Amino acid sequence: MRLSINRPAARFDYFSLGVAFCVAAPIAYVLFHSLQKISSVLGVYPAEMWVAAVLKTAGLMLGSAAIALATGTASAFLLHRYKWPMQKLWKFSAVIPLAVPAHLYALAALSYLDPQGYLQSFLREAGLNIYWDPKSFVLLCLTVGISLSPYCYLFMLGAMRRQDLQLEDSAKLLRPKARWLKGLWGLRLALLAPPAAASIWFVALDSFGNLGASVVLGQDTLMTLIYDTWTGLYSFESAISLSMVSLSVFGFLFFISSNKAMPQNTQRSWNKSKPKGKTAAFGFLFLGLFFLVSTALPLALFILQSFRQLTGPANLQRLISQLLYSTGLAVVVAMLCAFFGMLLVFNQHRLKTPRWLVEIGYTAYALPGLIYGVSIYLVYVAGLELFGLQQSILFSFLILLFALSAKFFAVSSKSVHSILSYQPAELMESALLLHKSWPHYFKCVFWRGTRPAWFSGSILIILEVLKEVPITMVLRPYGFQSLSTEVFDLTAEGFYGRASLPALALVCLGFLFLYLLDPESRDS
Amino acid sequence: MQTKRLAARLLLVPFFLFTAYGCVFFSSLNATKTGLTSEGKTTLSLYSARVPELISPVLKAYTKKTGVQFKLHTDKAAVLATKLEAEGASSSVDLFLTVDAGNLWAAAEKGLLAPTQSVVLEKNIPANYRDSKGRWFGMSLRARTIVYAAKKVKAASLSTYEDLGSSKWAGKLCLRTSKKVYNRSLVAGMLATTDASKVKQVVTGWADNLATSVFSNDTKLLQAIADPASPCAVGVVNTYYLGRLVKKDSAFPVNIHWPNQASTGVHVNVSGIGITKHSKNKKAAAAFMEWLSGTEAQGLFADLNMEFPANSSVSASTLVKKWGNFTASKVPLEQLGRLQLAAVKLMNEAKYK
Amino acid sequence: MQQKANREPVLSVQNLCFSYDQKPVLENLNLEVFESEIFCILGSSGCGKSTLLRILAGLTKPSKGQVKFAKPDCKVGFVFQNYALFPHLTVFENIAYGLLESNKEKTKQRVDELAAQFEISELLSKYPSEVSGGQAQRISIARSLAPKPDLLLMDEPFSNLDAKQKSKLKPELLQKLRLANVPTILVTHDQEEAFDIGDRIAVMNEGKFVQVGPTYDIYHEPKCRFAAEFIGTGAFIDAAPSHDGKNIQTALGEIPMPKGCGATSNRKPVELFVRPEDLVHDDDSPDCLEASVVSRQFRGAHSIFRLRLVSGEEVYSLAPSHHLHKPGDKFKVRVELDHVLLFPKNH
Repeated sequence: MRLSINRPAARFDYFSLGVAFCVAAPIAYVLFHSLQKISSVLGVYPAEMWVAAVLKTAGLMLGSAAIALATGTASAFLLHRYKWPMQKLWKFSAVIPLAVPAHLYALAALSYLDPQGYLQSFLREAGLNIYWDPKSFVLLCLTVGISLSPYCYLFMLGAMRRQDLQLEDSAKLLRPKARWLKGLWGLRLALLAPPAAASIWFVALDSFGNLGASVVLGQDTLMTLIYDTWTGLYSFESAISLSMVSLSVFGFLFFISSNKAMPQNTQRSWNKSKPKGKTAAFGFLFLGLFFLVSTALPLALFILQSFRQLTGPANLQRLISQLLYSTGLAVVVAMLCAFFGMLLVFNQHRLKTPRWLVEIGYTAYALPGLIYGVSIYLVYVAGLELFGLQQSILFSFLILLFALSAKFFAVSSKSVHSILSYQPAELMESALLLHKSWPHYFKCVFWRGTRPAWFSGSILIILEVLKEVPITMVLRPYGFQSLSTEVFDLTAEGFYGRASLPALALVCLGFLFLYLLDPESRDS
Repeated sequence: MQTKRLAARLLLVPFFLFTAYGCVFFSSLNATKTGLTSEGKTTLSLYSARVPELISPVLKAYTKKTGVQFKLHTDKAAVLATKLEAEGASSSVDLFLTVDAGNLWAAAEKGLLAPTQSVVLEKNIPANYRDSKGRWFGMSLRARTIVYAAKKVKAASLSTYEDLGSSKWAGKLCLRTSKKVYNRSLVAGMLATTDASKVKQVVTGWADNLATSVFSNDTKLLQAIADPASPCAVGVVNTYYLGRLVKKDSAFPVNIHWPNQASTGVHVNVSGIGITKHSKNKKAAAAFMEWLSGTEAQGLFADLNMEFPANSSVSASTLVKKWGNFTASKVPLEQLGRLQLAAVKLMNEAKYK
Repeated sequence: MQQKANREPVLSVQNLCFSYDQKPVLENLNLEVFESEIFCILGSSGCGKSTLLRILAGLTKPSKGQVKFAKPDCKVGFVFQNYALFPHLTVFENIAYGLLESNKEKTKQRVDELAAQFEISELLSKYPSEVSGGQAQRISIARSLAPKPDLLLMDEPFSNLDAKQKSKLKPELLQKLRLANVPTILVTHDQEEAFDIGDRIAVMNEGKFVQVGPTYDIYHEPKCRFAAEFIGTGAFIDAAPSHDGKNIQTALGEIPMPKGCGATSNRKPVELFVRPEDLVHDDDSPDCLEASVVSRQFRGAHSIFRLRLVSGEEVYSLAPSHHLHKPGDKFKVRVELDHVLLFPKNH
């Protein structure tokens, strides 16, 4: 018999509704504003172009998801089960892509693989008559996939850590002779399906909205086409309306994912063993290759090119101010997301908010950054006019913080929600029976239980904001330039050499925050 | 371990305060302001689609001369245009600076720019390089011309843009993507002087002759042409990209050819500026534009990016002059904007990616 | 009682050793399990029982020694302490997991059969997260019995159940295990469980078998101090051999020296181990000892009294629970020692 405690029974979650409104209302406003003015730019692009673009985008989403899942899971499996020499290095390289914007990976790839790049020049000097254009769809999937693989890695690692070890022992004994899918691997894949699905949410939306890498590698995706209707045909309205396609992707993901709870617990700490034989060989090969591609080669490139660019104190002063601005912005946004996110998630947890209301709050993450940024700007300007206020640095800052927080709070909130789904439902009841107060429950149970997730979620948000370009550019207050926008500006104009130094600074800053994210040293 | 985490987190609070102070302090050094703001000095606010490197020196020079301060905000042209549109009457922006006549025309058509009556400007800037209604003025010119690898192509075999579509250039032509506004304006320029069907034929010819997939920028295109192993022998680029590469390596093996000298002339485009419709400092903005078009500033402005001054009485830099004289196209640049949409449609139909 | 002679053991373990991180966990274990036998390994937490079980299952490799099965390719079933049910499969699929039969009919038949036996037929379409602890335990056992294993290993199967569930399920399980006729090794820290279920018990301490044998032998004839203390209740009192070597002097009086006891010849101090049932409460009998009550533990039908003897030593006495003596009361007992257990004194 359950005792009914002082829990608000079926009270509606107004806070979530408020948040969802703040996040989604600008989008709705802009959509309404655009639909009134839609011009027929569609005719300028023949139908085959649109179809080809849609297919390419779908292909990109699938391809990058496959690569991200494959590399992320392989890294998580190898690093979780076995003890490798230089373990910390491999672990670091598995999450490094979080610090590097995808288009930088694309640029680095081209620098190495271009006909005039290092590889082909070297091969030609060695006598091989080779001229190969590396810009391809496959390369795009690879770069985007690798840049998103840390999401899969982190989710899979978390799931593997939480897994009941005795499940594998059971399977070994019940089916001693079965191999692969019928045996242990079938079990592992089945247990890894929920975290895989959770990570795919981020990967799918990020790859859908990818613009920079597609442009660099010359691939026509839906996003580049949408962007072109705006820049080439000067029709912002078409761009907005077409971007709403991303919301359909978001809706699709909402329907196919579920929050089925998988209560699991660890029986004992995992004893890592040294890898042997084939596992050691292939494992080393994979880890080494991944390290090379995700960390060593791009970093070497930036460092090499940066050394040539270190000119005079003016440059350094500019770099430092950008560094400080980028960091400050990222940290403040992360703190805002953590603070509001905590209140939000706690409320949702307490009131058992329906899933659709929770997910509406994440729509800002689904929209491409540029579209959301300009939407916010439109609302901001309209709002200023409504209240008869003047534009100012303070207002610009506030609106920038709002836009970035609205876009990225999904990152931490979602991971906390998944942690909460592992908690047994009775935990809240038992805590409240012992001490009938919500503040106490928050402090002692909720906060303690989800603190690691908030911490790692905040670090992820910091990294995302550091890399973020479109919103930071559109909404920035006068006079402030972040590292990411600086890199983007310079590479857009073709000043690759000059872009290397801020790129290096950006990646190093990311390294610093990644060090704090190191999963092993966190308490579980 | 727990205390380490807690300490790391707590450290973020003073760190944030420090960075907040730091960025406010440093931003005042970073911003395009010289000296201290004092009463009575005008501040002009400028939306620029060009990166700060290419405009700040000019602004600094003007500030030094007149004391007028500038607020510079950079972003992509489309974004800036949308922002201006959204701000409407409450906008505090005075000037809009961007590249390519197509962008300028679009801004003017959206009603973002105010017509400026200025005898000085009309004298300094030739008519076809400015808006007929005085809404924008081209301040520096760039030519989009044919370049070729000295070792792969004989100069004599080159003639016109249209000729590049003929079969003799099959497998030797390399071009930048059709999505870049420079190429769109190039085709728009052709549409202004030639029949649409003929232009489509030419563009289809270009697409068929491509040796490799299209390049995302001119610099990579030039490097491919220079590369002896690459099939790219001939291409079309903006002159300043070549200039930058030659500056780095004076023996860069790519030369310029000025096409269409006997007919329509070399395609030129501008980087231009205009006063915004709702500017509150129209007089000061106009004064700045007049100064920019004058003999003092034209050289400085054009040299920042190895371009040609729009003011014909000012000569270009020595490096640029080395490329030789050429007859530029007489098509009023407004036309490039008017015909952009048609150009884009045509390029898509011709399957030029 | 078992007939051990002339039977081949299903499993025989010889000189098994296992160390982890240079620390010995199991030392020189020898074990034999026979057909139709339920063998209990009894020991406190941390003594290495689970490790032993894992070695027997083949999940861990021993450092030294041999594990020999009578049948080559012996199928081993394992019931884990927390049941380890696959969360992504239904109960039916869990039970059927070990049955890799292509014939679906046969699988369904076997699962239904087991489900009926363990009374979980109505749970077959549910998921493990939806069943209670007792049900999960039964599902887990059904799952391990489904492929008809040659040996069943159970790791503290009742530790996650409450007392009521335990008392209900234990006899049921015992019956079903006997029906299944599978040799079983059950590991537990609960001696009542061991007594209820086991045919033979091995008492384990710090990785070694202290004593192996039928339940009765271990209780009444523990071979060492640890076994005596660990099994059941009891108290140690000082004992000194009498001058003629035929008797032992204790606070309970003179007790004849047990046969073949070499303790006296060494002249080492010894102690006598006294169980509660050795001291019968009798207020009337003439040769009673006086003691005072220290405390009383109610056990349902009887109570266990903790008594202080005249000598100051404390012992236990079993008495029917209607005797309501309170702490401080006088309590008379009569000594009825069937088994005299002498052990060297601990220093």
